[in-house]
Amino acid sequence: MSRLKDVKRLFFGEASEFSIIVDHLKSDKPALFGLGVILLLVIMAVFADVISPYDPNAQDLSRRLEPPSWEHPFGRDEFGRDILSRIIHGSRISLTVGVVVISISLLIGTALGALSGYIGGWVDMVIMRIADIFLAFPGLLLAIGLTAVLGQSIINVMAALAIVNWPGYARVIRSQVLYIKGLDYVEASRVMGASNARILVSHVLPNSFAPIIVLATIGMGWAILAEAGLSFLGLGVQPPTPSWGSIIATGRDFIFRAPHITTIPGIVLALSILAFNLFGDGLRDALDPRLRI
Amino acid sequence: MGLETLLTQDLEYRERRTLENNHLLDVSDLKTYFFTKRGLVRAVDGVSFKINRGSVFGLVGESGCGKSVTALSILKLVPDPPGKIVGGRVLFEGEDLLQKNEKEMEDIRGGKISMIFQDPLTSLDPIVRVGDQIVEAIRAHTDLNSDRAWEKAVKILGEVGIPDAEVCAKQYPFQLSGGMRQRVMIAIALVTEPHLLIADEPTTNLDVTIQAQILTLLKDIQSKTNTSVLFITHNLGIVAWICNELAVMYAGRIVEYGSTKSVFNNPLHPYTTLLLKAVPRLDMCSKSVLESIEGDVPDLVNPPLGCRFHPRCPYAKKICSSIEPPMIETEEAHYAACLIYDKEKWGSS
Amino acid sequence: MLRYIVRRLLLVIPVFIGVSLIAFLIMKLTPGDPVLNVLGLQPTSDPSFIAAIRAELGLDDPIYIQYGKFLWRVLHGDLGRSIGSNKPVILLVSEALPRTLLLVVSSMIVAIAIGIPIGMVSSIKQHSVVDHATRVGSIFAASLPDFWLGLMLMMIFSYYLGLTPISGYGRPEHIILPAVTLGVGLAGLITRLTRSSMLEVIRQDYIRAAKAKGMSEREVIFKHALRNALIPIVTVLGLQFGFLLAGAFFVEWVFAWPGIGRLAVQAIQQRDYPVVLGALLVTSIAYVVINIVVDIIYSYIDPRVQYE
Repeated sequence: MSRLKDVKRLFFGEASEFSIIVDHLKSDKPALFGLGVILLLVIMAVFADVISPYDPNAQDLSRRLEPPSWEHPFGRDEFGRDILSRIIHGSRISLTVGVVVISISLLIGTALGALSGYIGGWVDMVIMRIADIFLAFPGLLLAIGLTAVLGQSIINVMAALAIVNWPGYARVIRSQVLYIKGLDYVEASRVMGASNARILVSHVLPNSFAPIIVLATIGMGWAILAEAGLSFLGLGVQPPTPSWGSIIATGRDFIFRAPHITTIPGIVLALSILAFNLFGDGLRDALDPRLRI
Repeated sequence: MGLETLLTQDLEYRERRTLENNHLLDVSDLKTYFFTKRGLVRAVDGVSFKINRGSVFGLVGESGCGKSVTALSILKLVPDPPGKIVGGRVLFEGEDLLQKNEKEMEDIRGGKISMIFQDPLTSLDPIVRVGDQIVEAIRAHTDLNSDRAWEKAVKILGEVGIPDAEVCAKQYPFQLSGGMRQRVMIAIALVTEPHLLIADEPTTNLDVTIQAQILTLLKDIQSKTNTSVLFITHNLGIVAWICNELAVMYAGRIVEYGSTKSVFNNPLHPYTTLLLKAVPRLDMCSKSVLESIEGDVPDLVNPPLGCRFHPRCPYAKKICSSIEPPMIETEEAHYAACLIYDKEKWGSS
Repeated sequence: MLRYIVRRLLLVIPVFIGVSLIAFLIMKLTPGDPVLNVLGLQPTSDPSFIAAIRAELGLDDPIYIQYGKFLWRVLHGDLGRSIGSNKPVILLVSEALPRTLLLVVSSMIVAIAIGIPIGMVSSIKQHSVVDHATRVGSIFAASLPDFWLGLMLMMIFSYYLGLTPISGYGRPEHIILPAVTLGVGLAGLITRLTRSSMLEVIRQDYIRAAKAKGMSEREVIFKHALRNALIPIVTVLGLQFGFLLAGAFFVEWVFAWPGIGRLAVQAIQQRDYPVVLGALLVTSIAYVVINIVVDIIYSYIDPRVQYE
């Protein structure tokens, strides 16, 4: 039982208490809705092969552009493929991109932020200047530019998005490191022989957890939107991979004849982004000590 | 002289006397409550007082006793959720303000009744020039065009003691010092020649030296224009210097009321007595001890039963927790809300 | 005021240098041998001929000289030629940029026209049904992917209802759907921001003091509350300009609006690198300049900023 407490304290630090956060979240209906959708997406992505009724790449040219029906609840696309299956597999792509991008951004951001805060001096200045430029400039544009240079593939998209996303996390980590650096008891524990790594883990991480997790959740929403957008423009996944964005893009050619191809994946995409935004918003409210009475 | 002339003169004379005896402001049994999540806060719970023309009336008490809320209630500026004026009568020049609609109140606010507030920095719009803020007050109550209004604004800035009024009028609040900002507030309040000026702790946020300047300014203006002043403060020293009448408030009620002279010379209510003892005086010897009042300010959601001061009162008897003491006239025109002065009830308990 | 403007304009110079440097580096990193672009031949060519071309293109010069020449050319408006059409890039870009700006400004107007009134009402009637609906609605609006929204609106209003043209450019009606598409997402954000800003401002002492002067509720809200509440809103608008610019790329693509976005995306798909570079370079500069304009407008609303 005390182990559990230690884990909780490791992740949540002294700044907040787990049960209060959970209570706050439980009463925030939009946030719960968001969480529900997110869980649904995860299940879809993980069990895509099992859940999807058909092979997403199986074509049937005699039944192209069929509207939704009992056997094919979301209809068929221009190659006769089942759209529901393609959307289910598409969730895999969206979530994978989201998770990978956020993870890499987190890693780069944490490393650079910690380095920046810890070493200080011109290293700090250089890193922060670069971060400022990235933060000031519209991320999506940078991502478009980067994919133009790197070439069009899903891997490049992930790389581009990660490169655009890390400065936010770096900032948070850096300010935590600076704050911790200035605390007296850190000096004391250092005198007693605690290594810097230990200080980093036991102090910086828990206190950064709250803002980072909010950034990460909303960042997931952004990454999913960005990937869909880039795929829509043809800069991301290449056919026949069923990213939601590319499905919408191809559906565009048939928008008047077969609107279901564009409409339905778009609704799924919008709901997913909404889910992450709602949940992230709810998290932010729940973790913000100022709102506590 | 004929009989008719004599009778007419007599009538005019008696009318004049009646007018003179009319009070400028007559507050009776004012009740303002706040409906909050924690409960019903009885911030002002049956407050009555009268202010004459030309009088400087002090409303004294600790923080949280309800004096500011009383002032806001007179102008009906109490924030409506969660506050509400639930009872009483506020007669101003014979008319009940609580019965007036919003449009009529807008005419009175800043016109016949002006108010100045405690913090001049936050009470002035930070992004509007000081002169323009005075002009707003002018144009809300007169028909002057903007040029003439601007001239008038500059003029009054000079009258409140600001050097280089022309330059000052073009500046923003953050460019002025605390004392100058308070003078600006006074200028805004006085430019429309109000009959009553409500001053809510106007010097509390200022340096001591500036305090003295502002108080002198107020006193000068008051004597020149014969404006009545409702002066709200917790500082007894200021009251002694500038007010000719005062009321002491505690926990939403008035506990003592009378002329400054009589209250200071002969404080009747135990709270007033203790307040005076807690203030250092020049004529005290260095060995005397300042006494503080025991206990805490009461919770206005659940005030003590009976006399609200009784838990902290050194003279309290059992009867004090069951009967709310009414205002008892102990000397001429000097009242206290304390059962000590009701010889029958006090004697028998 | 003038000094403030001059100070801000001077900042453009280092930013311009930074942006051009990045553009130059990107250009150098772009796959594709520039020599081949000129030759159109395969690499097995006369080496001395290739060497001559390399010298002509300045490829043998030290890198800083190459950058210097690049900067020189850019400042003179020479951004190269499109690989596809052989038109000068500067021409394509200068035609396209104003159209994008028109779109972005229109969408901002849409966003403000929707967002501020709803936000104001929401703040005045706090906790009412309108307020709650607005909160959810604004997050919803901000979550919609603009390229998909554009297609949906096109379908409903242009195809099924026939109210607006499907796509293109030329007549005033053409801008309606693109501006609305781009503006809706921002409107969500502005609504929330207006609401919270107004709530914050209404609680301030100077609002109460203004009422004590005898000003009517209406006057107080418009002359004092709104103006102060606008300050953080304008800040955010300035920041959001970048997102609008990015979104414009998608909306232009969907509606075939011939702005910089459409130009760039087409160029990327066709691997027309000079155009891509030119478009991104010009977009960056435009972004920086507009930010400065926003700063100047901001200092007009909040005079305190000028004295920092």
